[in-house]
Amino acid sequence: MINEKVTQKLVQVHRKETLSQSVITACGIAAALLPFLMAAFLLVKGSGTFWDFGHSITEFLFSAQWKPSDTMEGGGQVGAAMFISGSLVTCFLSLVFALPVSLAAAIYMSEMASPAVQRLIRPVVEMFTGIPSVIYGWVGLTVLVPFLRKIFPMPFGFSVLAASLVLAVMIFPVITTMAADAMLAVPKSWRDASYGLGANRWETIRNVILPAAQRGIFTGVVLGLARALGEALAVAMVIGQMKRFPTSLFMPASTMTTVIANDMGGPWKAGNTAQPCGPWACCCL
Amino acid sequence: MEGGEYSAALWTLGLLLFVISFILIFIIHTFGKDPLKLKEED
Repeated sequence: MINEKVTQKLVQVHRKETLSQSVITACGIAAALLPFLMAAFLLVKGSGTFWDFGHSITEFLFSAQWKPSDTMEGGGQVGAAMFISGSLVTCFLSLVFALPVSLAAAIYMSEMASPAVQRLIRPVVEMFTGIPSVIYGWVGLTVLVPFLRKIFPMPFGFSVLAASLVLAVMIFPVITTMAADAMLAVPKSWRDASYGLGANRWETIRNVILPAAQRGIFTGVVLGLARALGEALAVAMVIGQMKRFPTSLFMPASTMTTVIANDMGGPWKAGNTAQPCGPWACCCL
Repeated sequence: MEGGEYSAALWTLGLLLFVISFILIFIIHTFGKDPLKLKEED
């Protein structure tokens, strides 16, 4: 009797384990499948420009004529070169601004600061990654743009420079924390060996720490670049969103993300760009 | 297909962003390395 009860209990426990294992496995598979499903969905939707409307990839990537028709018939032009170049230029500039500061901060955090200072600075830098992009954009819009307009000869203040600076601030903590982690991961014995050979601190940093941590630093840079490339809101608030090539630091431009963020809600279905005209017309009346 | 040429062009921009992000992730996996592994190797 007792044995039967124990056996039943064990069977119940086993069933519960099987159930929880199945749920966990399903969640894991779903998490792994999700990016592929998204990729497939994007591939189907994104290839419509080429298959359904007959445009070429060359036209899309290299042409500067962006006049897509808002009809099912098509017949417009879909040259996105100015948005692609806008994205690349702003990302590259933000990297140019952020990388030296990030590296310096990472070297200070990992090599020079005392443990007490490290415990203080690290959470502060990491806190930057959690700030929503709209805050960055808002500060850029209200502080940076008027400031830039005051000190540089630019007509609007909204510019590639403003967008690059905002992006630089946004990617700074990503690169800094990754680089600092990579430098801290360099074994202490390597430092000791360098000092033992007569190298001073700067020589140790330059010849031992940075080469040993270069892959981690590189990962941080690429992650920062990915964040800069995908950022839409903060950039949209300060870049001016003018559909032109980023030929000047002091002039507005557009990036891929700002164009998507601006226009995706409009042409949801054919002819919908005209829809906002309705309420505007009512206001005018 | 739902949406006009404008919508399709925006989806294509989205696809391009996805491809670039994918390439960046591929670069990280190929050339980058977990810094913590350095300690393990030590």
